[in-house]
Amino acid sequence: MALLSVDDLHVELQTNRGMVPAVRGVSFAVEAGGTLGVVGESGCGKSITALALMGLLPEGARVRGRIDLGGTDLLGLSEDEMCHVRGNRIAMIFQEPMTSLNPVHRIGRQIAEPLRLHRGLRGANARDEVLRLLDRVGLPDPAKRIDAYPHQMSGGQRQRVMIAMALSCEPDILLADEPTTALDVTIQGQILDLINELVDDSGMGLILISHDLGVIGETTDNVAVMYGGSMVEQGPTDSLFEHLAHPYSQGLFAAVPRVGERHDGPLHTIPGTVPELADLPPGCAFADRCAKASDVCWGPAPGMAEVGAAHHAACHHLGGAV
Amino acid sequence: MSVFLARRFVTFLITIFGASVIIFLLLEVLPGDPALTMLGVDAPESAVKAIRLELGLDRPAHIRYVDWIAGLFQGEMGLSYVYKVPVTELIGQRLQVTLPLAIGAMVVATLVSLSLGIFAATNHNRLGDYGVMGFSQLGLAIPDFWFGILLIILFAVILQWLPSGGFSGWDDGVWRGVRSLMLPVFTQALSLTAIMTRVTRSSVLEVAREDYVRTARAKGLSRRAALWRHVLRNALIPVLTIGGLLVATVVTGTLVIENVFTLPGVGKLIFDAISNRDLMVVKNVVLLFAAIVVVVNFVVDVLYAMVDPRIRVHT
Repeated sequence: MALLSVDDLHVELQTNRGMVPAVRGVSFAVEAGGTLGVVGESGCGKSITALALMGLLPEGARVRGRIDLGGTDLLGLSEDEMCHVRGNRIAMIFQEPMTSLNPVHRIGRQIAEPLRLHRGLRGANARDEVLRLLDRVGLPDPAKRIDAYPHQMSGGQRQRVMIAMALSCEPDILLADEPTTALDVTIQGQILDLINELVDDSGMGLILISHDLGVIGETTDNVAVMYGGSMVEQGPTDSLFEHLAHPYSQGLFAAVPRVGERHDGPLHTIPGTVPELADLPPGCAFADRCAKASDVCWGPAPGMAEVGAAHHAACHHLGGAV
Repeated sequence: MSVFLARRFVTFLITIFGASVIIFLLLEVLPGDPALTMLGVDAPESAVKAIRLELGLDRPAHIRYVDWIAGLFQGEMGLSYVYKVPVTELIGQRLQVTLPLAIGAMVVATLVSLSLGIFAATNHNRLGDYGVMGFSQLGLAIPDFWFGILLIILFAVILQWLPSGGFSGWDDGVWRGVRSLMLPVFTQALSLTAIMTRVTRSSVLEVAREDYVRTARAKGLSRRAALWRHVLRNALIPVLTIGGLLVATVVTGTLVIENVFTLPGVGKLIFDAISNRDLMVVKNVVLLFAAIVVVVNFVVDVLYAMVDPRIRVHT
């Protein structure tokens, strides 16, 4: 049985235009030590899915479905019970290391917080553990940096601090929401390597959210492609990269400029823009931007169909795409 | 930190010097001769001359300015034209009323507004929030003196719980003094509370949306723990700013409040001094007001640096 399995997750957000579906029937599973990449454009629902797992959705959000972590349905837990899960069994790293740390507290104190909360560590014990964690995430000179304030550190160092914080209680699942997007390219590789190494060592499951296909391809065993709040394609990373079944996945991959390849004419793009969640078309959400769309695409939304070993996609025109 | 303090102290001196020059020049060019006011407009020329000589008004302005400042360095503010006693003595007596009044109003306003602001922010868009905002709107709209009169009618005239005004000094017992100052303190605190409640509420709401508060929640902190440990200290910064600025309002506001409640404070002193052209009192009290405002801003700057480590680096 999978460590984490999400089944038919729906999230509706409160907006000034009423309740809007942000996640529509998402299902996936992560094994212990397994890695899942979630990829899609901004606004496709990938971050909201992560926040739903953490139970940290914005106020007024409605969520249904099942999020099963080691046999417990997280959606059935009270807020108090969720506080014991967060930072303890599921931890999260955010996109913006510059703003994700509290500017008025020393980083040592911020890393010690989950240790005190979930492990009951205090004083010197907590400090020793923080030093060990800082060393583990490769922060140079931890004994000196433990008393630094966030503004005294670079973006990469701050992200290492965030990772130390997330790892502190040895979570079962690590959620990383665009952990390298805000960093310099040279630092991105280091942080990704660090995350990979930690996942290999600890056997925790990783969900890596990114719009960067390169990052996903290097890091994960499985990939889920999201569009308009739904998963449109899902499968083992190798198989999926080799054989893109869904027209959206194909467009997304074609839009990545490749180093060393000369482009005459404009770069490849997907026409149109990501739909407002409140204005999703009926049927397939991608229909109005899809080159293959036909009348059937405006009818009932397509279900997931197998296109390879453990590789599924949701499209009426899978035959034509293969 | 010591460089920071030293630098602020120099700024303080420069500001006070500038204020003293402006105050002196303004009083110099304003019409109204103290000698004429004391003797009446029909007084004979010789008598006016004698008074001017006695007050030292015959000497050139720059000499009088230097005299004044030199006196200040020795703790002397000169003699009041009207009362014929040292101005330091007058101010000293009157501060016994004004200081407790101003500090009391600031303390009450701070305690009430922090509680109400945090309460409103944690009940954002719910009944409690609307209630607090309604109260704050009302507090802003009601003029101080009118609110003071309402309080007098209710607590002094109808209920007869508290005196309607006057202050008999601290010698008759602390409790009597406190009772005399209760209504004035609440009157003065009203508009301060209204403003600071709004600032606290919006500041808490804004900080609560920060990424690092989400991080705190992601670590497993409850909403309440995240509020206390991560939101409040950051949310305090704008409240400090406004609180510091409001001290100036409090200091000048004593002028109105002390008149409504007939309190013998510094506000009443300067009010009477202006009417009587007692310029020796006026210039010293105004300089005192300026000094209080500058000192408070200095304290606020130090508090900033204590609350926010980033400020220590930049100064």
